[in-house]
Amino acid sequence: MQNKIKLKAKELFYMLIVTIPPLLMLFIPNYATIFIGVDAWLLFLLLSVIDVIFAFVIVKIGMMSENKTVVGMLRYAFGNVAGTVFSSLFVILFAFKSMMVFRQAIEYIYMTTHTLEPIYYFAIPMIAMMIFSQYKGINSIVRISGIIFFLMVFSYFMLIVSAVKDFDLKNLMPILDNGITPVIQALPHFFTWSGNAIILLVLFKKTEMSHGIKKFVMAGCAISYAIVFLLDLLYIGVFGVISGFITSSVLELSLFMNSEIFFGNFDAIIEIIWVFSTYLRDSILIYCTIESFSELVSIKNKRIVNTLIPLALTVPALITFRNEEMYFIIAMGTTSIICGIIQYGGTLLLWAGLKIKTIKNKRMLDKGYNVIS
Amino acid sequence: MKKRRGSYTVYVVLAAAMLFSLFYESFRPRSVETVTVISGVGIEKGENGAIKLSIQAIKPKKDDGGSSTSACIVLSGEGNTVTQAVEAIVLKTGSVLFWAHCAIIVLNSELASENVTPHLDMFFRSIDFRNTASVIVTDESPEKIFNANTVFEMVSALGIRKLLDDQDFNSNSVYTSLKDLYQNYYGKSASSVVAGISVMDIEQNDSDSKSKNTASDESSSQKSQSQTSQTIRLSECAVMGDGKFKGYLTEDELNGYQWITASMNAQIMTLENVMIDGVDNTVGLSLFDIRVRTKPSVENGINNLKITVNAKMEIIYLKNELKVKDVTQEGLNERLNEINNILSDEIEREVNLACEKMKEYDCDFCGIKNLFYVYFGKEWLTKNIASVQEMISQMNIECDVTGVVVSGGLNKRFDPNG
Repeated sequence: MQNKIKLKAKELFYMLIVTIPPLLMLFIPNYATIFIGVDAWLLFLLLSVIDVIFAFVIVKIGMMSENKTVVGMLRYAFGNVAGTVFSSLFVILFAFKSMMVFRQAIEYIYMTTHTLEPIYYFAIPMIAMMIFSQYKGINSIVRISGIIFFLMVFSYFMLIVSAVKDFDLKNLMPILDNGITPVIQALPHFFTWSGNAIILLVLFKKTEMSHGIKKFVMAGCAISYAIVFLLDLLYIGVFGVISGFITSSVLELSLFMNSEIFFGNFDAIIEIIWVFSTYLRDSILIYCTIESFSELVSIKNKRIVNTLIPLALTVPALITFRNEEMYFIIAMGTTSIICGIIQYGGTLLLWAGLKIKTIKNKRMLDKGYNVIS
Repeated sequence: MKKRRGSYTVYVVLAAAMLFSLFYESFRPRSVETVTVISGVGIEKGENGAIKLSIQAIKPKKDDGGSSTSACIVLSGEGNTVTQAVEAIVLKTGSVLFWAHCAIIVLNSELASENVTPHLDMFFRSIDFRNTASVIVTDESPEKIFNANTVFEMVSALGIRKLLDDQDFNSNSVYTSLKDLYQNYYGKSASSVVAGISVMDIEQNDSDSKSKNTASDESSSQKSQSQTSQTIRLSECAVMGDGKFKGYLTEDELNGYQWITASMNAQIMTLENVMIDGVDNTVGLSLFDIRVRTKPSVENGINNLKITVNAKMEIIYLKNELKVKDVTQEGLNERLNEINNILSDEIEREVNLACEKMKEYDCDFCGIKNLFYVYFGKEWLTKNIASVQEMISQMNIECDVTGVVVSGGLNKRFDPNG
């Protein structure tokens, strides 16, 4: 059933633009404003800069160690024992992110339907769809991004248009009235939702690592984070001091597009389009968890884990976080800092490890030894 | 073989979906038929200090021709809090109240004399409620407002919203959404200006078209039924300070507020007893494409506020004719400068009136404190902790007005005989 044809760089570009922006535009700007006030847009600027640089490092790693997932790369760079221990941290990271993103998606869907339907009415089909998509393979999941790419771009564009009319620069002022310290202090609490390019460390194995990969991935990340920054800036510029009250955050901007003449409830259209994004995002993260876990414990036949891991990640996410506040307290606590350490620190270490390994291998080759890569 | 397995998967998914849909009712979903779709909500004081909540619910129905139309029903409930009042209404509807289509929130001025934000909290907090709903203050009972008509809309709440949409563009009223109200409330000035509405009686003539064709006597064809109906109109805008209703604004004070807050879009101005070309005159000006900028500054510890107005204008009325014949280019320029000066004086007068009102209400409804805070940060606030009266009295407000006459229309009463 699995598609043997590898993913194209262009498909990764579509995937990044479809999946990254909504993640950082729902709930997160709301909580960022609670912590920092109207200077929260600076947090998104910082996160965007960090994540674009991070994506560059990830592409470099991918180019250095082709046809491997993060587990293979770590084992290659640090040896079997240390690599395995290190890899298990990445598996936990993917699992944690999958849980968090799934719960966020469910909160989003629940909220957009005005809480008229019970939560499990959406959760059950979504879990079923995610299990089904694991059987169809990553190629099928990522290629859906290509189908909905233009719809997503349309939704971002309409949100920008919708916000511009009510945007007021004064809502962002005074800039840094309390200095830069609150922004820096808040930054580590948002790492649960940043560093999303980490999924590429698993997806690169299934991707054609042609010369265009760097260009497409960097362009995808840069555009995604530019959208995140712009829309979060517009959101705070529209809502000002009350940005911390608006749970749905950027999505709320779609209300201003509502018109008596053409679309009475334009926000509903945007809400439906974004449901695809939430589904894809979580399916990809669950895929990364399954793939890295299977490689870590050497599972050849993934039939069982394809069902069990999605269930093990999604069902507890539904039960553990009783409500949105509980979800955010957990997501923004120590776990977020640990997330940052693993995803940024771990990746930088991997890069350094691979770099040393490459230099070592080169020296060995120069001396006439055979090198197994 | 692989192809067949793939097609089986589709059948399995379809069968599962069909099976799942059979259990749809088991999940106790609420479809749109089982919810009360609310178009407007009103809050006033009930009996014995209770809160009386009135809702206008849309009631879809089919007319004789089978096409869908909508009428509305007004229901009320009382309770110590808004949520209790909602429960009292649910006892009458038997279905959940669906707030997403609520277009207006009507506050009775008596209730609004106390802080209304706790009463509005449920709406602002709720994810059902769209915070673009307009907040309105009235002296009438909201129940009476919802039972009255608007000129063109059957559902009055939607009609009021339409009225506000149009009037806001023409700057005759304001469209203050729930979002704006809260944004201003939590701002440094903690005050807003919201729209006001009232009810008036109008005579409605309904000609009986059927009788025109069928009646044998001629008199019946000319017969028309006249009845009085209550219609909603926009009235003076209301000032809300610290969540409380402070009072109403006159038309000129509202204009002043709109100049200071840079929210003036268009205006029709009638200036009486003005001297143009040495002649006592009355001028009607239509201002449009108005661009207002407010710039606060602090010099030697004194706060200055400069209001720069750029507008295009059309002379739409002149009591005494101003002849174009024999007027030199210089003379015409002088005349236009005179009109510009008159306009400038008028804007300054309106701004001063708004400032006086701010002092009277001790309420910074023009958001001056917020404006200075935006430019100068918390340092300015700590230095300027004086009352609104003091702040306004010690502030220099300067208006710089540039009105460009794009259509003089001075040849409209051209006399061919000289």
